[in-house]
Amino acid sequence: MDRLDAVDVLLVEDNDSDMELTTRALKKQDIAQHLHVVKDGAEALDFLFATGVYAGRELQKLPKVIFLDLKLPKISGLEVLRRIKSQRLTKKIPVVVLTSSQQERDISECYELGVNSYVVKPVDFAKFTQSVGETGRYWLTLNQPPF
Amino acid sequence: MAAPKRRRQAPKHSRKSLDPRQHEVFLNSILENIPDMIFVKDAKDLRFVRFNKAGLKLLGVTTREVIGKNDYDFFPKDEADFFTQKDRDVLARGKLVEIAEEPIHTRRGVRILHTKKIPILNEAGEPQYLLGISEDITDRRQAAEALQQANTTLMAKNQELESFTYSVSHDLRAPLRAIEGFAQILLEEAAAHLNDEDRRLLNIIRANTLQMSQLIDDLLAFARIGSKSIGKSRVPMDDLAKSVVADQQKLDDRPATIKFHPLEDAYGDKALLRQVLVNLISNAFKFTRLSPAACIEIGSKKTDREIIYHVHDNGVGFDMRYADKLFGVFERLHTSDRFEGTGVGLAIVQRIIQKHGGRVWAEGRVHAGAKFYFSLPLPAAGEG
Repeated sequence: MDRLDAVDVLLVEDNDSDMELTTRALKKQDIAQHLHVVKDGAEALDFLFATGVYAGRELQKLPKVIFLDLKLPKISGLEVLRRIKSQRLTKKIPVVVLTSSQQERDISECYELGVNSYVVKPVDFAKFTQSVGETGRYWLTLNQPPF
Repeated sequence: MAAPKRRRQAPKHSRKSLDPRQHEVFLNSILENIPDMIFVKDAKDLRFVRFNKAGLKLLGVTTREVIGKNDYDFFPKDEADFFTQKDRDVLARGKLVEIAEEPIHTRRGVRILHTKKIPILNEAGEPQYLLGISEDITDRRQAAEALQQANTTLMAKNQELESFTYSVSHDLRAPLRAIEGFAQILLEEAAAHLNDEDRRLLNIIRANTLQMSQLIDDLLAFARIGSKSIGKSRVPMDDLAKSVVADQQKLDDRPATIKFHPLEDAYGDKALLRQVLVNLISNAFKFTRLSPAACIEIGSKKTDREIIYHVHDNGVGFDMRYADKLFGVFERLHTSDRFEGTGVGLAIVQRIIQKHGGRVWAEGRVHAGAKFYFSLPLPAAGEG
């Protein structure tokens, strides 16, 4: 469990291709050393609250940033965001929604729930690498984390 | 020349009221010809003493069948109980009672009535008769229900469309991003092993992916306009068009001549009308790209009903035979290697203008320019 206690970036992404592209973009910025990927909303919550397969993970060791897709199997990204932002333990973790959705409804609902950033994934790979890379660099190196 | 003054004197007999016999004839014709059911019951045992034609027709009965009978002779017991109770109520309170909707079983099926029951008092102030007036509102009720039903269906359809749009925006982009991304990764990481032809092929994959991504974006923009409600206010089209032209000139450094006639203010949705101008003006820039002396003319004309705006250019034009195709979604009259685009721009223009109650049309000739027009209705009195 040591490795899981040192996670900087939690990436919640069910699409393997998007996961690989995101990981690559973060690696280019040299910020993917402590990256952990979970593939659905339920697993994300298990990780954060050290339940299920993540029972035993040290609860106080929280990621510096969460990259969250909205459309996820089992528990949706919006629901994951709602739970993160409503729990004392996790509410301070910066959450970046990384999604294909440009729907006004999604955007406003995410901000309503307290999202820290909302980034639309571009189709163009150069732009994608830039968006994800810069967002990652901002939250991991420029931003002063709450813990 | 003044007309001779006519003496205003009414014939003498009209000033007097009708004599009692005429009066009865008069009332009877009203009663028998009015389209609503009218009936009179005696106050004591609520038996019918009068029933008009419309009433007989409504119940499907004859005068002989009803006079002297009461509600229990015609209607199911619970219905007759209800009517009788209302009658007693009216008579006891000595006041009119209105029943907004009551179902009634007739020989012609169930009808819905809107009924007024009125007590008729004798000289001593005691109830003598009960007057009933009923309007058959069955058809109106059915129409309202049908409308309600149609509305519900429409809302469900809208919901469906919205979730479809959602899937399109989300699910179609993900695979495109993967195709584009991995083609690019291959170009970068396998650079040493790729020859020019390999690179060209990979770039074709990428270009098509981006094209499809643009198609999705445009389609979504088009769908969004359909579901959006428009907010109307006075729109300074002149300022709007000038800023759109300035934006285009920044993107495009050719010396196109702009003939700009002052534009009438419009009454409509500012953001959407801006979109119309952007689409038409950027088209004018795009399709004059190959013209040696590009010229774009923008103007408007006010008629008594509407304002007609136009954007003319001397670009590649189009064949009037295909004019009806111009405003269709994904319709393109030029190949995308000559002029980029997805064929949604003019469809969006048409949709916006139609939502404003206006019209769009175009005139053109091959290699001799295109003239695009749209009209917006003048604000109605009280608007604008």
